[in-house]
Amino acid sequence: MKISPEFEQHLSIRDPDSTVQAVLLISASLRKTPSSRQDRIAKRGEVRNRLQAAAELALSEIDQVLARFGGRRLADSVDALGSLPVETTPAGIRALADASGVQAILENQRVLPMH
Amino acid sequence: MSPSSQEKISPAFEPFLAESDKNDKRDAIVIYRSTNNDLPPLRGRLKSLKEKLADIAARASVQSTAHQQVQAQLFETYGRESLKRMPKAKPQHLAMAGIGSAAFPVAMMEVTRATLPALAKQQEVVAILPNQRVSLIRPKDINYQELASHEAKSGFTWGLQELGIPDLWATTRGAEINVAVLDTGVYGKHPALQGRVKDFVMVDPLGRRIETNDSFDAGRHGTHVCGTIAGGKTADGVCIGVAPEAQLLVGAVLVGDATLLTIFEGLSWAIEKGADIVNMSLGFQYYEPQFALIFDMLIEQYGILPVAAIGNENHGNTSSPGNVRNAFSVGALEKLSPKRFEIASFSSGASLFFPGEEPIHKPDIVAPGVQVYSCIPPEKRSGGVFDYTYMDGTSMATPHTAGVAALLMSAYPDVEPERIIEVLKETARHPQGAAKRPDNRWGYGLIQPLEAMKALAS
Repeated sequence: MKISPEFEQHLSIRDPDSTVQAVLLISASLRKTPSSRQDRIAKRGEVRNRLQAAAELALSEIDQVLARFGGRRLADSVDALGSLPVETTPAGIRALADASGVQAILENQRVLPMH
Repeated sequence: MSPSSQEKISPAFEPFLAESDKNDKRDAIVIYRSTNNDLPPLRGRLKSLKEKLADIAARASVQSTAHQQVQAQLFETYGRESLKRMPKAKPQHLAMAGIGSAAFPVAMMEVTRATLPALAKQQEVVAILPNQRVSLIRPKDINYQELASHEAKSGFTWGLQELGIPDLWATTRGAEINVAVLDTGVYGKHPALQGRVKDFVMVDPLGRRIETNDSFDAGRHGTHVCGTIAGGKTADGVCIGVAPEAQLLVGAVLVGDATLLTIFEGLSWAIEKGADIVNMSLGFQYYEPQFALIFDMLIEQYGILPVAAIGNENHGNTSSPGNVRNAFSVGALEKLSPKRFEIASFSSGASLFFPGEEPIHKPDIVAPGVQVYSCIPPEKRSGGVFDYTYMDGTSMATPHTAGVAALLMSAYPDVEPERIIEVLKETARHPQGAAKRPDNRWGYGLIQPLEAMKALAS
């Protein structure tokens, strides 16, 4: 399940022509290797490179889906978490969930400090 | 599936069952199953109010009759079964009565430790709750003067004292550890934060990074949180920060209409800047289980320990990202008297059940989160300019935990974040002992930093 039940519910009540902002998480095969703090910090560049490589493979499929549903990327490339913000229609979000290079899709929901 | 007899008895009976004598009596509220009369739904917007009220009264009367029949049967069976469980020489009378006009299938019945299981065994009984006093929630009369004078005398906030932080400082004060704080920002010029803010960025609601010459706080929440993690001393000599030599990487992400996009950008920035720990005293609008993938990425790939507040929506609720399965979430502890501590009434906590999955109990641990004294951007009020204040919230408990994690990581830099989370849970103290944890109030319990440090050493 790449979309949470709550997000799915939000999609189901949206106007089919409306635009939804979401964050895609790219699938990447990353292996955890036990290491010291210094090694972990040094390894960060390697993790980012792997995510970028995985994104390059996934992006053409993602772009095709976005083009089909009149959507667009909101960033040029993935960030250090392998995430890519996009906006498209509810049907476009569901189609992105079928893309093999997409691991999960999160709605760009509001965030508040905890008062 | 019908609940078992044990499941029908509310856990709120536990103190009574543990502490009472076998024949001590206690009032119980009993919810029972009654005949369901299929009455047609109330309709007719054009009916007069008088007609509607008459309709409702007639319906209540039908329901009451059905409930009273079940109730009478229940009283008779329970009375008989209770007698068998009482000392023959001294049988007691147990009071039983319906509540109101029996419009609801609820009755008040006296129970003893011996008769409670017999009542739970009755087929019609759905749930048994101890009757308890209900009072209006009033603002508490908090004596800040007394607390302030005590903290000034000891030189530490109550949270630092309770966690045994001064003893840990003989080993480490958190040097070399970078704690990222994703919040409203920070007033980095505050005297208590001198030299602590290593880097600062603002992320706007569109997810763009904006570099500024000086750090700033769009509210005061972020500065207060930063003070608890790495603040120094107040002018009165009170230490406010758990890890006063840790370095802060502050992402002002909660500025304006913050969204998940701004959080992702803030996290990405923190990774690039070398964060070891991320403090998230923030909450999403709704439950987002997919955020577990982000926690996995932070912990397993980047070796970063994320700490998240569980929320301030009272028992029975939780907030994301703290309620995500692999989050390390924090609830708020309140000090009621020198020796008495309780979970703050506002502190969220719940168990999440999903078909085919292990239940998730949140929070994971608790830390001081009520009447927490820390720094804020200077505020003009009547009486002068104030740059310290008390705040309550799981937002305040979270930085206590992030600070403790910084101390442990500084003392044992080669230990992985998973192990630090593990020892903080394992060594936490639950008031009802290890067998009762984790629960959805205390989680594993109040963190014990000294014990955690020992566990890492062994």
